[in-house]
Amino acid sequence: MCGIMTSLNLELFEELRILLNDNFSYLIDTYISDTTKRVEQLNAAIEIENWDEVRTIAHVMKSSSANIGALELSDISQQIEHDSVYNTRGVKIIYARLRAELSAVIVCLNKNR
Amino acid sequence: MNILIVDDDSTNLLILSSILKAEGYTVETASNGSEAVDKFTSGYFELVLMDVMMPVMDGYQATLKIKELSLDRFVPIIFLTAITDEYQLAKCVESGGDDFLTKPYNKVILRSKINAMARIQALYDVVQTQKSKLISLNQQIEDDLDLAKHVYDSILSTTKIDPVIDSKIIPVAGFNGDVILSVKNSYGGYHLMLGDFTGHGLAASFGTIPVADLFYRLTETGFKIADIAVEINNKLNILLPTGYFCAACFISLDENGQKIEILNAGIPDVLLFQENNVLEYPSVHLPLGVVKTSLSKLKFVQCKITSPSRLVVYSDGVIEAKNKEGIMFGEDALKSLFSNNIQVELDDVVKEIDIHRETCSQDDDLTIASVKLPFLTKDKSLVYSRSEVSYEWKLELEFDRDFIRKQQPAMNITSAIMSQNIPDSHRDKIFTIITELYNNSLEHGILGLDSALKSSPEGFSEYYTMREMLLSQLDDAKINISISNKLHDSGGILIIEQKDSGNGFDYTGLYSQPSNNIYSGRGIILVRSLCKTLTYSEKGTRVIAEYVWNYD
Repeated sequence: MCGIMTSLNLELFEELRILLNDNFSYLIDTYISDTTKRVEQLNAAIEIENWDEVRTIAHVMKSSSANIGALELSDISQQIEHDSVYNTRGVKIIYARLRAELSAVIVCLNKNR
Repeated sequence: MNILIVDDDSTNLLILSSILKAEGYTVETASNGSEAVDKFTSGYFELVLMDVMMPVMDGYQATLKIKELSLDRFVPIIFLTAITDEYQLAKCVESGGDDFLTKPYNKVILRSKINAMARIQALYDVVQTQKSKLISLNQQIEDDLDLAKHVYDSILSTTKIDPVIDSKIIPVAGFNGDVILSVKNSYGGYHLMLGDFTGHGLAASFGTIPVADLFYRLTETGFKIADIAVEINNKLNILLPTGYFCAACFISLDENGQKIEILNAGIPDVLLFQENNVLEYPSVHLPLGVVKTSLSKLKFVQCKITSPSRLVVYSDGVIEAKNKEGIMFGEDALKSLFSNNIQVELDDVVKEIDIHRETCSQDDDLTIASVKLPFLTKDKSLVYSRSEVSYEWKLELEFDRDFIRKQQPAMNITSAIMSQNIPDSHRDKIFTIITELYNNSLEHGILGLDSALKSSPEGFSEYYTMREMLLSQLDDAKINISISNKLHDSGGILIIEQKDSGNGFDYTGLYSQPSNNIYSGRGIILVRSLCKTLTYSEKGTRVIAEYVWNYD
């Protein structure tokens, strides 16, 4: 099972496994690949301080992470979405947390697929 | 149900479409608003699940476009959103969204929301179907009304309102339950009729069509106003359902507007304004169409005009026009308008009624007509001369079995005779002669009935029962009537010759002292007293009567 228990809501995750059945593995691949790409885009946007872009990417990550059961990652994304508008200075610090949490989620997903 | 899911995130699309497919829905996906609009245009979707923030075209714009594309049906759009932003939620509604679904998706909530939308959709479909049914029904009613109005207008537009007769007709609706008819008659005068059918609008106007038709046709044929009144009443009695009738007034004016005849059958008092007083002609007969009537029941009032006068007829809509307090305009107000100024324009009268009514809407058809009497000639002096005289003519008629069994020709024959400028004072006598001669030939000559039967009440009824029976069994019969008019200085002689195919009757009693039941047909005594000569021959199958008439 998963090492960092807070990274994934297993109840929701197991529901998805039943629901998607054969597509479950494909769902995890899609999520990991999309999210990894988005984190890189997010990094680039933070570098050039394109806060609109930051907010948009964080918004998508917030919803897809929540849907797959990565609730902590969804919360961090929401924090970034919020700070990109109201507290841009805090964004870089939270971004580091986001990366760490994503790594944990990916490990967890791969373990449970 | 076909559902379109719009989201730019593949994970979300995958999860949501899996949930919906598991519920048995058919699902398609689009990854931004623009793609959603394209898919919606080319496919058929009954529900859309729409993300808000998307590249290329966001959820608000896509919703506006999709709603525009589906004006004729209800396609629910449910926004996929986090509930955190109130501004965003408001914008979802403004752009046409019907509901929200928050992430992460909850299957139970999703299912109930889709079901709720499906119910609204079904309701909308029912409403839509009923609406289009109503539209087509309404269209049909309008087409029917247009057609009816066309027929109605074209019949009533033949109204030959003469300049001497002034009238105002203001219906509540496009169709009028009031009718005013006037036409120059073959005696040089005018016939005028005002009718007010029960109710107003289309239902009330139906009866005006046969009335107008009869009024014009009979006047043209030479019928007198009283005959026309009888015919119209009896026609309406057959046509109108119980509870529907026509209050009416018939007026005949001679060629100079000096002699008038009035029959008021159920309308407010007809008023005749003179210099210092006003004569009233109240209703003396049931409204038309209530019961069958006959000439003897129609009491026409005759009136001679000796000074400048104004005759006013109107429907009850005039005096019953109410204001806010429910107070009617009233007969007194109408009278004072004409009393104060005998020349008052009808337009001004109508204006006064409008003023009285204030803001209250009209609730009955309103009709008023007036005639200034006597008529003035071009040189403004009164005309007293006779405009037309009679001439010599001959009329030949033959009635066969089928006619004899079903018809009574006396009225029509009399009207035909009277239309040839014979003074009206002779009408009743001529009618009596024609009727009695005809009935005598039929009942005694052809049917062989014995009028002695009529001496007791039982026999009287038996007589008519036998008459009916014999008539229905009548095999072959013929009655020929020839009427000619010969003129002399102060009038003329009508020579009425009648021959029938019957076996004749014993007319010898005619030439002896009259006593009870000696000969058949007591009516013949009356005829003989009216005529200059009455001669029977050929066993009573042939008779010649000479009737002398004079100008008044």
